[in-house]
Amino acid sequence: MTESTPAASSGNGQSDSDVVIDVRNLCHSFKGHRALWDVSLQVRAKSLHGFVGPNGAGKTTALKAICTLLRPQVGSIRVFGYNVVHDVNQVRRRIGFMPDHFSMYRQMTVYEYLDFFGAAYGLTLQQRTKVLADVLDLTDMAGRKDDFIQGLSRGMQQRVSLARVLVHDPDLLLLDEPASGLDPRARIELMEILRELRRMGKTIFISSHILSELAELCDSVTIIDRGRVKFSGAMDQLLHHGEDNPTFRVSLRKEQTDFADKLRGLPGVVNVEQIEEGAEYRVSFDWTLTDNNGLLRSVMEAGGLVTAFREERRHLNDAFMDLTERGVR
Amino acid sequence: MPRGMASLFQGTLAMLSRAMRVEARQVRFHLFRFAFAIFIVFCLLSAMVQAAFRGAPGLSFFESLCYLNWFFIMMAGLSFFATSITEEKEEDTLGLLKMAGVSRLGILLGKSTSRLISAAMLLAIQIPFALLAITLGGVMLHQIVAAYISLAAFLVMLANVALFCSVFSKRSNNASSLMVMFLLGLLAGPWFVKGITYLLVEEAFIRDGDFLQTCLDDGSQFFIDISILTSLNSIGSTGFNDSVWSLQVIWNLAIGVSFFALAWGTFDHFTRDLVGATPSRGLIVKRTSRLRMFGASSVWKNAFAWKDFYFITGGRTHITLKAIFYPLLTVGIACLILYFERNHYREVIGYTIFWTMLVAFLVELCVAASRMFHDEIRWHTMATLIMVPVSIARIAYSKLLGCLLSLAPAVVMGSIGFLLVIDDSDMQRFFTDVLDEPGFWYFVLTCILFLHLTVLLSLFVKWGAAPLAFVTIVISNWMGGGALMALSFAGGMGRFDENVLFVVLDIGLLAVIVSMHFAIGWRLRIVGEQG
Repeated sequence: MTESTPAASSGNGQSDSDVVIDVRNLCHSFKGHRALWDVSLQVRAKSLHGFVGPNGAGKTTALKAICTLLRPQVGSIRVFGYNVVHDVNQVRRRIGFMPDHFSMYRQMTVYEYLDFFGAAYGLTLQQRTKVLADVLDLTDMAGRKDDFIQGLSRGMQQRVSLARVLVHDPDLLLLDEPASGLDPRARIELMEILRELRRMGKTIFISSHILSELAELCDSVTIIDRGRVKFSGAMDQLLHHGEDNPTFRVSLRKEQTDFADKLRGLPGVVNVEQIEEGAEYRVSFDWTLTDNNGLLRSVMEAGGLVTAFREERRHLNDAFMDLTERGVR
Repeated sequence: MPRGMASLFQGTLAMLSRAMRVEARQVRFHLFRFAFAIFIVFCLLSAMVQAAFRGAPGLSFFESLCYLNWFFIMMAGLSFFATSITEEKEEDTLGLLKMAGVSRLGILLGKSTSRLISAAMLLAIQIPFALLAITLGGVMLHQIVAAYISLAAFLVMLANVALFCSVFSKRSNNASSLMVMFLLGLLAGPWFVKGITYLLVEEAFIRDGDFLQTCLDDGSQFFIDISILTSLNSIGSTGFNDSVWSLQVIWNLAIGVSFFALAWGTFDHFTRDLVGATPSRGLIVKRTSRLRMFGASSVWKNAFAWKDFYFITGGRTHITLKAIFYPLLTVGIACLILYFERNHYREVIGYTIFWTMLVAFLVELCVAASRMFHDEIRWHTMATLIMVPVSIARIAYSKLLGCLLSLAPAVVMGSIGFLLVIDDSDMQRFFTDVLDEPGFWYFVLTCILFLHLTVLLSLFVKWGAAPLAFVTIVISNWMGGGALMALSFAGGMGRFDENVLFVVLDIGLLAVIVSMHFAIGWRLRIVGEQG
């Protein structure tokens, strides 16, 4: 049997080794219902990529196709350069998929469960002993390793699920709604683990509804609605999406008369808006004429006693609401 | 109408109409009815063919219909009726029904009545066809009415006993097991007690006419009298003119109503602590326990075999228990036989062990086949399992290996039995004659087909894959055998050698088994996609 090798080109002009997931024109239908339509996206190595969309948008279908569970009807998917249809086992060896439901052998203890998957992935007993100690440590479950899974809380079960995904040390983690149903503490702790995993060099593709946390966590994001990709790219790009000029919020110690007019007269400034007749102004400027340092300098030179100066970015929530349509499918 | 009464009716009717609507939408129920209609047509055709060489073909048609219905009612009791409440328990919806204000009577009526109505409708729609038996000759209208009333009473009894089992049990498989025990007790129990009583009198342990003998004999006779089989036998006899409200009908209805009342009375008690269904670990202890020898070992290199060996078949704990129970059972049976027939010790012990273990082997294999993949689907673990980078076929065969390992006690015991009789003339004849018979291999292949069908059906149905596979195999064999017999009698197969026929059938079965292999793989892939 010949071992497949990753495809040579990604066709985007960027380094091939840098692209971990490459989805092109993916379409999938279930009984006449179009679940995915012309979906294209790319995920770079060692990045944390958010996959966001309303219920029924097609997130789980896309994830299943990427992780080889679902055969794409139209289009192609490459993971680490391997085709998910032809090189199923090569792809599976390098990914860890965590489904959106708690699909676990709950009658097992935590250790038995992880040990089973370790052996299923071909790890020897010695390797498993070491790896299991590491993943239990990482997920902070070492103290509960002899507990039955069915006796654990939802948050703990999610940690065990995450530990299972890590047992064979995959390079790419595909997580489908890992934070759903978790209490705020469990959610924050899970996000901490994800940060740690990113620091360890894993690429993480995460589908979630918790937009605030995704905004903090993700380097890039794909927004999908009704089976179509509405946006796919860097998080910064999304948060500036639709805005030509950067906007900064300037806060002064006290309100100054006609200060808005003074700001309008500064070089490069294109728009000034006073917030609720107070000592705060929203200032947009032209990147080609000045930059944020230049703007701050100009404001101070104009006599403003600046107490705060920060970039005003759209929140992911706003971007999400702008890009997706009202109602459910 | 009082408020409580109104809410009872509302709840019951809401559940009833929901159940009927769901049933009307599901294709499998229509397929089942269609299959039933085909059986009826087949019975009719078979009776018509038999009319050429046998008298009273109507009676033959009528009897076939009666026993077919009896068989289906029993199978429905094991699966369809026994899961009425347990499925709500397993899906965590019973608490929601209670919170919605549906009373326990409402839940019982809503859950059991809809199923009873479906089954009763299946009986009712046959009556016009059954009337054709009168035209074919050999049966009177009174017999048909009496038979359908008997069957309906049996249905009511079984549905309500199953309802109680469903209320009592936490899981559907427990409810089905209770129903198996009930049916065995009902069908074989009275005859067993009667036989034992006779032997006790023969051996002078008790005297004829003693209080104990009278109680045992009358008691078992009573259960034989109220048995549906006795009733159908009596109805089918020439000159039947008894009342349609026989002892069997009255007692079956009374038992049915009593069990419904029992289910109603104990409903709150058995459904009080509603905990979501979780997979059972059986008797496997934790590794940290003092009895760690009964715990799961470290995972083997073949992890899938390890998992199924411990968590489907019970692992070392169950093997130990079987290693104790099987010798006790077989030696006990052998001793009982030897008590009455005091010669050929070695042969009696050998054959008893061999045949008992063969039955145990097949039963264990059947249970493992029905659970092997079903549990993965039920607990939504298929997607994570098939994400492991090995082929589905390897996973499936590894799981099978894990299940086969648990059959070691039955195999070892069976082999001991076999070695004890290896030089016996009957066993020698088996090697020289029977193994050459294509009919023997037809039986073996049918058993293998049954196991494959059980696995395949377990990937489609929630419960009852094994009974369904059994029904399918029995009916197919019955129809196939009937068709061949009809053709043979009609002269079309006069020159056919029976052995050649079996060879053709063996090849056909082999082809079906191979296709089922692929069908199982295909279905596993789909189930994995669905997560």
